[in-house]
Amino acid sequence: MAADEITVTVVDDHPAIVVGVEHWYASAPRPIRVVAAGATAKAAWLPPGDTADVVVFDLQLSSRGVPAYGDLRRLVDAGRRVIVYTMRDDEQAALTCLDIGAFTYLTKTEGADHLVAATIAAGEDRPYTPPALAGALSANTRSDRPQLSAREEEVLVEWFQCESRDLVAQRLNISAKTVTTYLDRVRLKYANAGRPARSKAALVARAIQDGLVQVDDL
Amino acid sequence: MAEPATLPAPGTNDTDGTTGTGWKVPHSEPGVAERTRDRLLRGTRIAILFVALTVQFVMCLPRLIANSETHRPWWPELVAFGMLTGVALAAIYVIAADKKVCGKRNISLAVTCLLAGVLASVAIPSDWLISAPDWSFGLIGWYGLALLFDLPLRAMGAFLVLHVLISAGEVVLKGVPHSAALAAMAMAAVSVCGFQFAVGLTTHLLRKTAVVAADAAAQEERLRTEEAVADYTHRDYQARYATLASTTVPLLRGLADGTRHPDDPGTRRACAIEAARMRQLFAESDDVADRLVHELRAGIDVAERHGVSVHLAVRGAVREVPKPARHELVGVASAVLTAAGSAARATVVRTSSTVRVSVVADAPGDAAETLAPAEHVEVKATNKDGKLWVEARWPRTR
Repeated sequence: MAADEITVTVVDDHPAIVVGVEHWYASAPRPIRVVAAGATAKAAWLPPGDTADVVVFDLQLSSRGVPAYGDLRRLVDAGRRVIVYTMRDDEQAALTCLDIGAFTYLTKTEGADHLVAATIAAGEDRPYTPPALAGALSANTRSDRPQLSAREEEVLVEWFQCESRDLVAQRLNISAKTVTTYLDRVRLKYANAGRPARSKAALVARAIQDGLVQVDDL
Repeated sequence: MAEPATLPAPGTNDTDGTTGTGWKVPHSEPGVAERTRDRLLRGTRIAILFVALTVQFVMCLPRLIANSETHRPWWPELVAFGMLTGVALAAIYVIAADKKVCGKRNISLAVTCLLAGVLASVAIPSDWLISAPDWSFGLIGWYGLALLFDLPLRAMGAFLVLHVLISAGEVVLKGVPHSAALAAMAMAAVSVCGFQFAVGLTTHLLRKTAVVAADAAAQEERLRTEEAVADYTHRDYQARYATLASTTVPLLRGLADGTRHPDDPGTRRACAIEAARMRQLFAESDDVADRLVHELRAGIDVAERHGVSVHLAVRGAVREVPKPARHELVGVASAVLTAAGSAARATVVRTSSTVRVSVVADAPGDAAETLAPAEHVEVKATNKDGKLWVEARWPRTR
């Protein structure tokens, strides 16, 4: 096993999804290996899935019919990095998952473009905000919403609208890298708000190490 | 640009806030009846309180002073007078500060009044109870009325009955006087409390009438509004059908007489645009909660039938957008969707301050130049690597 390999457990009740995910990982810029897969959260608790770096988790396990927030919370509480990967293009679900402590929220329509990058980011405890999640954050009206700057709000909405850092960068007359920085800062503000979770703390700690934010900013 | 002054209450189907000419649809105000009633209650309370204060300081005060010579101990009467003055001040404060009248607080003030009545008559001998020297008897009723008249009528009734029973209890405890005095007491009690109850009853009836009248007025207003909306909608449809006639009919005529060719990409695009406009017009007459998305879907349907794969994502709660602005938001998006080659992403983002509709598509950059000029929305277009991104935002920021 390569030293910098990221191991993944996929919790999804559709076998085709697991195959697709493995296929995307095969062409990733860093080695990513699916070590376990299963239709229920059990796959992430039993060997070999229990030690995987990242859990890709389907929120809508069809046998239940309701979002599996309980399973998600238990995984987060056990310190797992969970990428919620779901059919639900629903802002409330996205905000709830983020508050529980999910690493990121990815809709299945975004999978091809974002799952690999999100998995690598999760493996490194770096923030990753896919467009659907950015849209949910921009429309968030909950009372515990973190305070965002006007520029951060604008970047969120535009990233959601066009799904292209280059287009956002061109419209706002900034660099694509700056766009990412704004998105990451928003994500960290969320990590610093609401229910405490180890995954959130890890994100913030890593961001401080990277110099993305100062302790005083938070 | 005209914007709705206030948004209609959630759950109403009135989605047409304004027209481009600034014509505003007045919408029903659920609070009219309540406001009328509150104003009436306030006025009545001030009037009754004025009566009570006049009785206390013009009639009762001289008797209280006279009693200081004849009855011992005198201090309970003085304390009772002070308590009643305190109740009056509390009631005046509530009115002056325009605070919400609180039933519980008023009941506790009413209980204070009853206690003051007991204190005031402690030193008065049995023969003089419920007569001139027992100055508090009538006054307590007025304060009770001022505090309780807006509660259900039985609260007022119970207060007066309790007041009479307490006084009767005092008479029994201090020794029942001879029958003539007893009869005079009973007459005084019935006439004073009866009069006060009658006043309470009148205010009660007045209040009910006011609420019914305000309801009727609000309903009439609603009816007038609905008529105005229906009339406006009808005129608007006619206007829109007329514009269709000036663009769709020449196109159809051109196709029929052979001056326009179906193979010509320009003709095809013109047909697609007309189809999108017609779909939008039909979608408009549907009764749906989210008109913006509903009308946008009509444009998406047309694009999908031309082989464009469209992904629509919506964020934020449904909110009202004035019709002219909504037409422009959808119109901009539909035009870009129509120009799309194979794939497009349409989004709607609604916050409390803005509504933004955006389309990203693999469309020629010059498609943005063919957009109709927008009056109510702000349109931004960005073009890069064969991708066209157009966003329409309402309201305009400049």
